[in-house]
Amino acid sequence: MASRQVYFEDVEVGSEIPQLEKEPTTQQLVKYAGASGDYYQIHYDKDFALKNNLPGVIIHGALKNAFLGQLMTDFAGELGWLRKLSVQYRGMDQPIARYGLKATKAKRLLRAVQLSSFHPGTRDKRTRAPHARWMLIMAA
Amino acid sequence: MAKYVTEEATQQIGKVSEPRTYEVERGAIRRFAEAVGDPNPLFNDEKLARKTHFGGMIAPPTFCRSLGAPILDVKLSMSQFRGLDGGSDWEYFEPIRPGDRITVQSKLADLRESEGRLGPMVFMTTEITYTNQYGEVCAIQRATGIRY
Repeated sequence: MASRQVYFEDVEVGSEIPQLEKEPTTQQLVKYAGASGDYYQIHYDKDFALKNNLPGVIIHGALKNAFLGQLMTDFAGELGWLRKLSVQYRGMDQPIARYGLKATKAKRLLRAVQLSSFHPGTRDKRTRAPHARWMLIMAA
Repeated sequence: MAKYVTEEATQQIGKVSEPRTYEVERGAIRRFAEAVGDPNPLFNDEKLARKTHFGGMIAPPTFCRSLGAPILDVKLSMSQFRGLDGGSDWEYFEPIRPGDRITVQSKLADLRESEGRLGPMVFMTTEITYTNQYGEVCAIQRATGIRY
């Protein structure tokens, strides 16, 4: 909300959305478990995760989803409204993962903007980070 | 194919849970935003949020994840399985505010099966509706759970 308000007229195909950097730690996973009520042990109990054939504790998909939400509400500003947000988890990530959330391919729709995003920070890894599509209804 | 998603299983599509109602606490919104690392004043600061056209604090987009959705008892012929979160499609209609009473209801929207890297996988889509005390639908989450 600190940055200036973006309006529909400001957004074109290829417009850059300001990037958001995230580096979730195990401490953040514990905080997210508490705040969301998701106490599945694979997110904080290493022994439990190993017993379940995981390489260690893994980041909640829903936390990655929340990061995408933040990216979009930051961009929408206080006059914008996030209308749709879609996320598919393509792989599992371990803390501390580094995400550079970035949106590309803004498409103009009638009074709305549709975008898609990727996480360049994890692109070269075997696990692919979530992919999202969303639509923003911007203030008139 | 269709080893687990039998005709009998697909008859459960459309099945609806009991509704569950939560009161949204201001502190819970702040704690959620803090856990995500989102300093947006709309989710953290009532005084600043009052100056916006929302007129006060609202919940961030995925706050609904903290309003536990009733789990549907879906019968599949899988004796043992592991679960994965496959993703979510969200639609937002009205803001959720501190003090709101949000009723959460789950509906089994789809059951599919495919052969994946991990063997047969069942994709279960649950449509979760979040309705406020005025009867307005605030959000719909279509969550896909994977069983394998």
